[in-house]
Amino acid sequence: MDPLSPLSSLSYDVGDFLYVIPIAIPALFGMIVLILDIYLGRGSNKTPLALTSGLGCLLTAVAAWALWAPATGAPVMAGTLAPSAFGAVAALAILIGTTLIGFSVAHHSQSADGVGVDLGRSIAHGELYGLLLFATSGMLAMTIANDMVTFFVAIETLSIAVYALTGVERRRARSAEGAMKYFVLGAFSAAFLLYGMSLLYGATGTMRLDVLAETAIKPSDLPMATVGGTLILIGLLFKVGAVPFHAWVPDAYEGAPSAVTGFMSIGVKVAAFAGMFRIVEGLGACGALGADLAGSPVGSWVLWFVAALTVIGGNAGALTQRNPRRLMAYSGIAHTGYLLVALVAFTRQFGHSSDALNMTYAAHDAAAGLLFYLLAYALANAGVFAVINHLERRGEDVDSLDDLAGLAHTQPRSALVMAVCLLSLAGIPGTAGFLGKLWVFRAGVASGDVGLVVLALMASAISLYYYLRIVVIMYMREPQAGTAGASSEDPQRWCSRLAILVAGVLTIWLGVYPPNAILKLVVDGAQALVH
Amino acid sequence: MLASMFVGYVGLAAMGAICLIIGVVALLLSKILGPRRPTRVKQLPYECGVELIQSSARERYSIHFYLVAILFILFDLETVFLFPWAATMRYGVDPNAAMLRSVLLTEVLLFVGVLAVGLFYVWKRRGLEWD
Repeated sequence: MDPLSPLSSLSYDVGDFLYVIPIAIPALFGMIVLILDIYLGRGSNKTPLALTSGLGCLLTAVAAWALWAPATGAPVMAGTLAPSAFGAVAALAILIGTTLIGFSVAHHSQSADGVGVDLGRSIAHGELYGLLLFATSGMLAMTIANDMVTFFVAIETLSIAVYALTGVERRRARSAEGAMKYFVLGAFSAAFLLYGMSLLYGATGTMRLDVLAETAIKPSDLPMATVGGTLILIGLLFKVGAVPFHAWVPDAYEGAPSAVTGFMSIGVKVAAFAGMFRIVEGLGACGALGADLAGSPVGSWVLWFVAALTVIGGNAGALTQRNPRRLMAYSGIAHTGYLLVALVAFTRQFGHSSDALNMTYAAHDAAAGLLFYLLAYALANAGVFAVINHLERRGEDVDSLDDLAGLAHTQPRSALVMAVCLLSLAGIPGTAGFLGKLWVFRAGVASGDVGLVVLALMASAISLYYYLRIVVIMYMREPQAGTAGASSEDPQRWCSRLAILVAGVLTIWLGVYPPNAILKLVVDGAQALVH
Repeated sequence: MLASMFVGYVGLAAMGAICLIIGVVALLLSKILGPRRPTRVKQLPYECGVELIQSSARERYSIHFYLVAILFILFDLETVFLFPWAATMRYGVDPNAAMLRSVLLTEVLLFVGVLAVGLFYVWKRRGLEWD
């Protein structure tokens, strides 16, 4: 086409805008809560904000399910988006996090008597919900982005909102420190990501993942493409907190208010893993993961070591933690490790081994396992953080595990949900976490990574120690005087109660009898990724 | 192979070198040849011709400066986006392509609308007032 002749038609179908709706709804509701907060006025009941955000998330979930799930993963909007069931499941996991955490914040910032950790004193409530929803919008875009530029814009949309959220308690030094570390290292990793993308573009001439997957790179350009792919992976591994790129995680998680920590630990991780699988699909198919070494690309062996280090590092780090948020940070690193096992299994398909068909099955299993695991992880983490938020209203943070002592006596229902969610994180049968782990590890065995799976299994046996220790503290110790467990009644509690209840019930439901609709969606999602 | 990749950059490197040489030489010449008769006023930092506001930069000053600067950047960027959009609409788009034109118009209206919501929010939150 002559570049000077006037443009006469769109390069995409106008109907493609339908697929943008699930990304647009959270942004729209973000603006609505900002404006709504102005009209609610100072010192008024802020529950409507939580309800509005919850409504926004619900609409988004319905839209994602209705619009993305039937899509095949073919690129739309001039190749910038590739909606599929894969994106729909990841979106559900992200929205679980946003909704439940949003509801538990409703309580958190609610303290009518003026005492308590009142986030609203540091920042307007509307801005808190606004940032949560804007970040959610970026996360959803990440799960279906098909163009690396779109992907980068999405990751920055979510990152900038989450940096701000980390530093939300601006009068607390810890919060500022965590935000600063997260921001500086996050900007650093964004540079890695961008540089990798530009090198990959230089080598392949495309920014689109679907085109990338079908590109045959010239042997002379292969080194540049491999370096580019490595840098992109480093940027993403940083975001999910894989060892050795995990140093920011404990500080950011400890510094941020618990609600924000919960949101970070769910949304950012789910979005980054969904994005990572999609990008690795492109990288592997075009050969940017490196030449074959013992039947699979070098890149999958590198990821093998990263996964092993992450599994060991996360679980070992969690053993000695006394602060619940730090503990959850290391627990999150450990879960990154288990999910990386799925990623390793996923990358094995790109080798040229004799059992290529089996590797495709393993990759399919890995993608499905990842999706189910993300759902289970989102629910369990949302439950744990909803309980912590629920307890934090007495003025002191839940800064030590001892603050949870005797919770079973003072708050039996919260303690029960917390225990269920911790068991789900540990992977005990009867909870969603067990099925997730089973699925992911099965993929690992199918792809021939038995050693890695055994390592992950041993590490998750170790993880029982620190998860069960919390349960022991809650159930077998007497409550301390004046701890969070002894908080007074508050009429606004139902929001966070609801969040806790939903997290607990869904964790059990998905673990005991996962509904067919969800399983079908998960399998469809894997199908969309692995052809 | 590798060398051929960088051939195109030779001109850029030459320009960089020339800029560097001119800059260094000019500064050196003025340092060597220029007369120097310092007075107190000459030693003060130049602040657009007005009296010196404060003696050191390491002082606390109002957060409002940042707010105004950030809002300025926001609306500055809006302008930067709108000019090429307007030029494209005028010269780069087929005047008969009704569908394309309406989509482009809707998109830019959305963009301006989002910024308008932001402006409205800042206004209502009294972010535009100096005290």
